[in-house]
Amino acid sequence: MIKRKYLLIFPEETVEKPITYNLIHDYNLMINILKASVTPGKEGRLVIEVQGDKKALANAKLYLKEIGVNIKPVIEGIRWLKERCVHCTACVPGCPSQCFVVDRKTMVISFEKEKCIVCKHCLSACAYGAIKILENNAG
Amino acid sequence: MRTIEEINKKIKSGKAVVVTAEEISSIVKKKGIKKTLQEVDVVTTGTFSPMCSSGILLNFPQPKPKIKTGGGTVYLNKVPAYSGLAAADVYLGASALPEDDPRNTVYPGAFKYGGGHVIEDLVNGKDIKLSVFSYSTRCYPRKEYSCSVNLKSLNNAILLNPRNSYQNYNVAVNLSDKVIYTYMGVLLPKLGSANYATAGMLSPLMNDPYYKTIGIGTRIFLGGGVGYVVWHGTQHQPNTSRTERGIPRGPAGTLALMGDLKQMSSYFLRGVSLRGYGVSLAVGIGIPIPLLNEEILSYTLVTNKDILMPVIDYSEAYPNGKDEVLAETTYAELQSGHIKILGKAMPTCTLSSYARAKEVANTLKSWITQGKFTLTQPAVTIDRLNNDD
Repeated sequence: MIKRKYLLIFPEETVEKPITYNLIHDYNLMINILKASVTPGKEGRLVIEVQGDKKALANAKLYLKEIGVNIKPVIEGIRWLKERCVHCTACVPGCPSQCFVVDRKTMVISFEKEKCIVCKHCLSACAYGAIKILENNAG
Repeated sequence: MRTIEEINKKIKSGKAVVVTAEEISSIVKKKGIKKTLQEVDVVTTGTFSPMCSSGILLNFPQPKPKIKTGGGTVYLNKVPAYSGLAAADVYLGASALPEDDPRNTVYPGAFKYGGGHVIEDLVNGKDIKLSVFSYSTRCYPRKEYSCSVNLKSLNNAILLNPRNSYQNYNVAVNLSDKVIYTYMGVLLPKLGSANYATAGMLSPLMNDPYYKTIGIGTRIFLGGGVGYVVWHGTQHQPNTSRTERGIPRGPAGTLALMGDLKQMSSYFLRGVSLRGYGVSLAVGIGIPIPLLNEEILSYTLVTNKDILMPVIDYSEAYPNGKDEVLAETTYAELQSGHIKILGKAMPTCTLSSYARAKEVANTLKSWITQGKFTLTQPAVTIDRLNNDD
């Protein structure tokens, strides 16, 4: 069993195909949709977390490539610029996956990247320019 | 009883005992007030937060032929500065925005660059484009001038902040069902978050709540350099309701500050972009409190539990100027990460940095301990500023 995060970019002609259904049904993968922007007639973007058998995942990726879906691993959608962070805590409440953890004794923040689902809330909450987004990977 | 001269003698001989506003309480708990007063000379405070009423006073070298700025318009990196002063004097406010910034046209605006960022760039030694458009006179014939300036090439660069270091502040919440974007940060709907400010027990005016030691000419830590208190700030309201130990139960005292920008550092002076609101400047301020007597020492023993803050709805009450306090909470509760009001628990956050405020207080402490920074006797303390005697 492995768990991976991907950004799927699919051209407008594949938007109407039930890709997520096929991944679950044909490859027995557990799919968690983290973010989706799908409009008929336009390029679609989907950030998913996939969990399943290693071989099945490899086959699923082949299937996606065949139908023209561009797959990018989400390595770091959100970057926390430690040297620009002033440890104010403005990013903390709106984060749905609680990536920003405050040591309540020192009031110093740390960022737990693996929890991030690239919702971008922190981007609008941070006033100090300490959050950067890598658009390529984040969709 | 102790005088500032006595403290300065000890500072110069490297014998002054200095502790931060966080450390003093536990020392008094251990040793008692009398012994602590004998041993400790100075308590240092600190705060770090966006303070919109900040700006810089600049004077640039005149070109040949000369140009008159007064009556014209002046821009620094496209951010407009106030020029209704003598030729070559300009004032750039932290909240100023370039004319072509889209503001909130597409809501909420990002406000990526403005006055606060120009100030940060200057402090970082970056080149800034200065543009002047004016009219011709016999003594100042030039109509247009543009050049590159930086902190070194400017004749003067002075931080001049009309309202800083608020003594206590509101806690902002949102009763509406939509996210709102304010100067207190992003407020989540239906009491989804509580956004507070200040550095609590470390805040300068929390440790001298009646302004008995702080006054005109008090030398302070300002933006990483040395500055001075020049007056009380605008909107200074000393006559607010207070707790038994003198802590105001809402926004009260403020300070006007000044200092040489050329000494400052962007670690303690940062441009900020508040989504949907605008730009500002985060300022680090530290004020030394001389422990002149028992009364002054007793004020510095304030803890985060003693600081009551009013919770205000920023969706309705605040914008419409209604004095409705939903509840009171303490700084200690806010700092724990959650508070409960009107029966609902919610996460808390702040745009002020307690961690950096602590660094300010510790830096000032080390300056004094090392004999690099001595205390001043204010010409007039803030409590006596508007008295006739």
